[in-house]
Amino acid sequence: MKNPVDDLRQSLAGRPSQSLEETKESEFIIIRLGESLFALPLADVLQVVAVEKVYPVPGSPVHFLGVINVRSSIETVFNIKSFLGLQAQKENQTKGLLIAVTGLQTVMMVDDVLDILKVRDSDIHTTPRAPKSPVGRHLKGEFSWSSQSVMIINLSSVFAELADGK
Amino acid sequence: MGTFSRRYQSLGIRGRILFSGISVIAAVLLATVSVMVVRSNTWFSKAAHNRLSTATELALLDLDTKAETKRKIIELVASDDDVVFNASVLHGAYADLDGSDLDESSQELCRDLGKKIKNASHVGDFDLIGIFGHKNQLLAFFDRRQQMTGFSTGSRYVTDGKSLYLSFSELPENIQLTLKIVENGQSSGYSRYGMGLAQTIVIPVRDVFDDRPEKIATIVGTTFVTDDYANQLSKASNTHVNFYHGSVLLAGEFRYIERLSDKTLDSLKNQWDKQDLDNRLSRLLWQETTINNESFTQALYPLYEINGEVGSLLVMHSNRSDQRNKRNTLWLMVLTALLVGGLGSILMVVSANQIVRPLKASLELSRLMAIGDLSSNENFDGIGGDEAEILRRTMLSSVKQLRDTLKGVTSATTDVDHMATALFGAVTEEMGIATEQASSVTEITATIEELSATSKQIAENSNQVLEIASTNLAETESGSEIVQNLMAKMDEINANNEESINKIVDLGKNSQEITKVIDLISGIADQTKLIAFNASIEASGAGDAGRRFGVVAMEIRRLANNVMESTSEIKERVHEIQTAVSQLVMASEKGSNGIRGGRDLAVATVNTLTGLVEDARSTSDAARQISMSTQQQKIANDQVVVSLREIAQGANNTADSINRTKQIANDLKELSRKLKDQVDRFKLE
Repeated sequence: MKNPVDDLRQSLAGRPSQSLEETKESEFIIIRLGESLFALPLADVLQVVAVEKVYPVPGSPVHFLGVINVRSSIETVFNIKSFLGLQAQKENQTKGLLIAVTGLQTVMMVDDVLDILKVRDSDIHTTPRAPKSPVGRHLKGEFSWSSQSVMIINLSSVFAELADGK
Repeated sequence: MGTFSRRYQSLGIRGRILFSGISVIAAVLLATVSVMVVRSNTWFSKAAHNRLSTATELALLDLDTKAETKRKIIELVASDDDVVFNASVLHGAYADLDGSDLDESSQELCRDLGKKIKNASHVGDFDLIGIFGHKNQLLAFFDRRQQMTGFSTGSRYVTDGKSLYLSFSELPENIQLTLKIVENGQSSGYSRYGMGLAQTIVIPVRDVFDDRPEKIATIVGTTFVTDDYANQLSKASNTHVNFYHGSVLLAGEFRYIERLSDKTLDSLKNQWDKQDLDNRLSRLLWQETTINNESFTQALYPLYEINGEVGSLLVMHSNRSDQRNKRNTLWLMVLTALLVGGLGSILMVVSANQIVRPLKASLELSRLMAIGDLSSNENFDGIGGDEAEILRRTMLSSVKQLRDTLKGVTSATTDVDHMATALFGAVTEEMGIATEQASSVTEITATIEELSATSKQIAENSNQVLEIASTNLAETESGSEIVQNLMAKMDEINANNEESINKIVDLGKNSQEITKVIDLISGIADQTKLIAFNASIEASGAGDAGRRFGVVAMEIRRLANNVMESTSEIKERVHEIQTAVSQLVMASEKGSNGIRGGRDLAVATVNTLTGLVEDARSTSDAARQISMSTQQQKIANDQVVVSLREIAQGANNTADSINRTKQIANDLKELSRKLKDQVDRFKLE
């Protein structure tokens, strides 16, 4: 298996005319949800958490599975897959990302964490909005990573929708 | 039958012809007499005549004693089964006899008689359908379905609740119909006639209105009949006419019938003296008549002064039983005549046969003797018989004597011939055997010599067989030893193979332990990776200060990825090893089975070889035995050849003697044949 970081290095090395200082870059963490790859801005991610057991809380909102203990702090567990309507294949999820956006903090369950990398803004393409599908509603852009398409989730819109209580 | 035939034969030829002739003549006479007897009516009508005469006399007994007379008449009518009830008369009698002037027994009789009449559904023994005519014109027709009780003048018919009293009178000049119709007890009309009453009886005509009824007889009751009147009536009615003295009482309606008044009777008595009156009355009172092809005797009983009126009673007597008797007698006589005649004819035929048969037989015997045929084998025993029979028996006896003599000669000749033939045959056969014997002996000698040579050859060959068998025995024993060694080696291989399999299985188990360790390593790598991610995040959060740390974190993450890749590869390899182990174990098992099969084969081979050794030893012994026996046989054969040569010389001498005997037998046979030809000219069987 190729190391994605090496790939990135090689791609960067193939561009001698552009220095890192000259180009605006953002850091993303790449996750897998089912068959698809998604990216989250690294600035929103506080920690990668190993989730062993989730304690269910009666009366929780629809996409919240329960609570867990993260270093003596009680955090809610958010099922992003069900929220985005990606429930086709159920996997035994053991990893979660502790996320903090607009004052809200939660552990988002993912199928796998693949990599952390920097992407130039010019490499990010905007995706056409498809407001009717849950995935389409919350995408911010798209870039290519080791010849696969990675979609950037707009966490602000996700949490705005959660806050609206829809 | 046989006894009868013999007795009959003993009458002799003349006696038998006479007897048969008498029988036939008797039959003819009997037939003639029977026909004559039957043709005369005397025998048969006498009984009826007597009966009716008695009735008439009774009726005439006493004119004044009304009740007694009536009772007697009623008794007579009631008791006589042959009396055909004339319904009209009896109906009238019944109606008239109300029983007022009768004693109790007579009343009872009257009631019985009344029932009898009422039940009578026909007149006489024949069914009648009444047709009343005026000058042959059809006036009325009654069939039985309309409850017609009978046909008779003055009879009462009931149709649809109406009572109809009818009387039909026929006179030469003036034919009248007397008809009274009673409805609801009231007479609605009638007519009457003058001098007498005629009743017409017609043939039944069923359902054919267009056909005119045929009149078959006319019965006339009258007080006074002149010859002219009788003739006129006969011609007019064109039938046989019966006349009766006085008024004919035909119906219950007495008042319509001409009455014989005291005055008239007195005048009659004055006219004829007493004797003459009785004669006339008795002549008129009964008569034979035929109605509808049936014979009747009918009688008129004049009844005087019944209810102060004078009437008469008509009784018809059926002659059926008389006719039946007549017919039966005729049949009996004819049958008897046929029987006697038939018997006579049979006797004649038997006589002729008895005479002709022995004569024919004698003739045939003579003819046969003339041509030398003496074969007749008939029995000539017995006694009696007529002249022809005695002749036949004598001839038969002569033929038998002659036949017996010739049979003796034939028998002797045949015996001689048979003996000569037998002798010839035996000699011929013997000669053949002798010749055959001589040649056989020669042949046997040659064969035995050949056999002697063959024996020598066999003796040599058996020696060679003995040597080969010994060699074979030695080789088989060494082969058996080699196979036993092979078996021991195979056992060793099998043990080694089992050990290998056990070791391979242990290897498989150990590789599973490796998998567990690999899983542990993989888990640690995954946790390491997670920690590396958090390190990267922390480094990113630290900005430029964390950049170097970020590189370290990335390296750790890469290392963890490498570890995970390697463990994954190791897992694959271990899986491959496990698969290979399984296949190896299976292959080794198969090899082990093969080795076991090979060992079993080796055991079977050892057993077979052991058997072979035994057999080879037996073969060697047998070959030695054969060699000795063939030597002995060779010596014996040489001795046999010498003896056979002597026997051949003897056989040739015997054949010569037999040939001479054969010649003599042949001469004897020729002689016997000539004698037989002479005797065969006679036929004996």
